[in-house]
Amino acid sequence: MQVREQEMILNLGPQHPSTHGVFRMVVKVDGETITDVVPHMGYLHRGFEKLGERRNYVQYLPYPDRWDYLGAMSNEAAYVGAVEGLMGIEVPRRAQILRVLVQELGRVSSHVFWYGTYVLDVGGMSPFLYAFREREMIMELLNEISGARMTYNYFRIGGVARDATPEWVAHVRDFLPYMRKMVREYEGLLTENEIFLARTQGIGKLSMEDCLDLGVSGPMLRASGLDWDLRKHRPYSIYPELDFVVPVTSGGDLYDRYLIRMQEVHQSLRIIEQCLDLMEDGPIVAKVPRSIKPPAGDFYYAVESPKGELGVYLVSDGSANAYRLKVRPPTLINLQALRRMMVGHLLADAVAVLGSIDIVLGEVDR
Amino acid sequence: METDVIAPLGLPVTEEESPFPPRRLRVEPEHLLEVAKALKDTGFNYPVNLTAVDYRDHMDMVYHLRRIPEGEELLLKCRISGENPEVVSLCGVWQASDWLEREVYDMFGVRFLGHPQLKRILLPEGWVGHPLRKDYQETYGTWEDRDEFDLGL
Repeated sequence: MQVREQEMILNLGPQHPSTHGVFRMVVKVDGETITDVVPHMGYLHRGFEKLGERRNYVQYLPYPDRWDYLGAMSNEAAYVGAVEGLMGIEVPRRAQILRVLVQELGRVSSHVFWYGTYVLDVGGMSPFLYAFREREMIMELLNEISGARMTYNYFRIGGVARDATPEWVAHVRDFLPYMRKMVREYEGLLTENEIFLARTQGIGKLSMEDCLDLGVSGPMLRASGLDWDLRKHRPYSIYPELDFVVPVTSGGDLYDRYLIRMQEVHQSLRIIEQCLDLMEDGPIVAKVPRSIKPPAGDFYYAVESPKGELGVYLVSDGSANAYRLKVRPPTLINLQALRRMMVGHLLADAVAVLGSIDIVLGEVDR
Repeated sequence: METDVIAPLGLPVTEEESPFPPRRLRVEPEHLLEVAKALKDTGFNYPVNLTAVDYRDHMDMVYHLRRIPEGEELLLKCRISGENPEVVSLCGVWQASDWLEREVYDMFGVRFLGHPQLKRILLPEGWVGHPLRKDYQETYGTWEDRDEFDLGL
């Protein structure tokens, strides 16, 4: 009897626990080997760029939180930075320190969330709960200062909305050593774990040349050997004063991206501590005109979000609404590398590769 | 500070003034491909952003490029027609252009000549219209006539 083989088309998503949101991958497999993958997105497209033209700059403030909702403070920083850049507004020092502080807390939160869900993707169940326990503490800290756990609406044009109380500063200080200990526990569970190494080493490799040509940014780019972090190489806010290291590895595979994200958490905790030490008294928002009408022109402002280079290209026509608000979404651009990374690997690696990109559909689809 | 790497190339571009960085260059659509290739060869190896801006009677394609590791940035602008916008695809120059051009097609209706797979990326395949165009008709009433719009409450 002859055994016939044929290619099978497998649909993953849009509702699937491992696609990290409403995302659909149509995978062609030959046996267990992936021969092609076609990603479909847009299930979470909510028209944020058109909305930018339909709201004035102040009305638009609650929206950026909803792009990458797992590291929302960076989104706000990018949007507000673009408007302030066009208007030439100088943000007071205390506000700048608070902004960096909450962005780094957001980075820790995002990377810890990634850790928990990634381990779940490759088969480990327990670290998910540990990660969420710590992430809960971060959300409570951010809730204390901004009023919300996830969609903060904390940044204002010219500063921030609420000041940090001494109690909040004490809470953050108490949190830091605890978090350091916990991250070391997370690393202890995975970094030398045989199963994790087998699932992630040598898989999903992306060369530095590919990364550059694809516009990849963030931990994926640094895992492929390129030392490029906007906080160091295109600095903004108070980052030039802060002492931190940008982790870079050269393997370019899934394991390297894990190592980089864990190291970035350690570095972010260092940055948070320095921010607390640098904190000085002062106003939390600058003197800003009553109606926000930036002069006509275009401006690009980018921050290093947990996912990569999150930029806002803002075109103003001098009116109260943006003429064109373009969001440069790091997750969408990084996601373009999916096909290159996945083809040739086994079906079980599809989920691991997708997870290593760290996509958030709110940002992919906008 | 840095040496000007673009002027020596003698490219058919005009410089645009702006109070903000980065440098802005404007190119005609016929020369876009050769200029893009020349810029990439000079070292602009990192595509940062690719988008379009609709100015009603015309559209501007905006390409944001960067030289890594030097960090020098460039905004390359190209003016194309408003009613029938099309321009050459830069997929062969920077791979990142693939999905970014698809998004511009989806939202603005710009046709990219030579694109391997120019189809919608965010909106469903059957969607009619290109939402980010200034003349896009929204179904549920526009912001401008919000006072006349009857919410039925």
